[in-house]
Amino acid sequence: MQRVIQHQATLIDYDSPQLVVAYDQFNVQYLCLFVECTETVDKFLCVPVSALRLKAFYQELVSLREIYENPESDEWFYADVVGEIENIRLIPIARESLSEDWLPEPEFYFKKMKAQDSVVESSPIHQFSKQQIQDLLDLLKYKPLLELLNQQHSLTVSINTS
Amino acid sequence: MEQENKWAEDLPPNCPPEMAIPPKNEIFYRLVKQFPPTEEDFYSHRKLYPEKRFKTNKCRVSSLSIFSDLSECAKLLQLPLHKNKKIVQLKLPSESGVILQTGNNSSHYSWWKTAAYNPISFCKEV
Repeated sequence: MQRVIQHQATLIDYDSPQLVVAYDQFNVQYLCLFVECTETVDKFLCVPVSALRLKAFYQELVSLREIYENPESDEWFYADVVGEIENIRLIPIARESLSEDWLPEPEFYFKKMKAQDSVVESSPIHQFSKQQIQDLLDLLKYKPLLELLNQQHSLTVSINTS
Repeated sequence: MEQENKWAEDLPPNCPPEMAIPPKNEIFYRLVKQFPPTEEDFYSHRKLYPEKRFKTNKCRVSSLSIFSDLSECAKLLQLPLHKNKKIVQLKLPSESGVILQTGNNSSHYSWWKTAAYNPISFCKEV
């Protein structure tokens, strides 16, 4: 499923937002770093980040480089932003294709200097709504049936290819 | 009466904010692409990229970021887009425009520059 992010808070601003906290439709939070600027698009490098890690980042206990080099979920995305982070689709990117130019220097630490209205305390990663939980439970009911169908499909494919 | 073309750039309505005040010869720091800087180093993000759509923060993106604290400005050199930039020191007189502390960094200010003020010759490399 495509992940679509919204702006939550700007942590670093320099002529335009440089480092942003965003969240997707499942309330997963991301740190998004401004990495490339073209005439029309601002490119951000985004990694999912848990509430705990975000807190550690705010307290200068973990560097920005560490967050980007070793994301908790081993996932990297980029986002092409035209103006503002609002309903922006995340595009997965492989670790191997990450350019050094896109990464911050190793010694960049961030301290949240004062409470901001726009910096909402982080909600935990994968916080589902009641409806989403119900949808997942409904899906689980069909799991044995799906597995059976999958097995039959594999069998059909192997017969056809043999 | 306010001068025509007082501001260096076309600003949206109610911009700069009423709370913004003229500087009083305080020292500020800004990143530039090279030293000596060029006029473009003092263009806002909105002026540099007119095709980008800005809905909620048109006034902020029409300003220039400056820092009152050198070390906070220097930290930005560790971020991808600013790795190769230089820092200049500026002493801003009252006729240079208006400033307002913005963002969660207490040393970060937004500066709305007047058209009449050209900072280039006053920049000192840090």
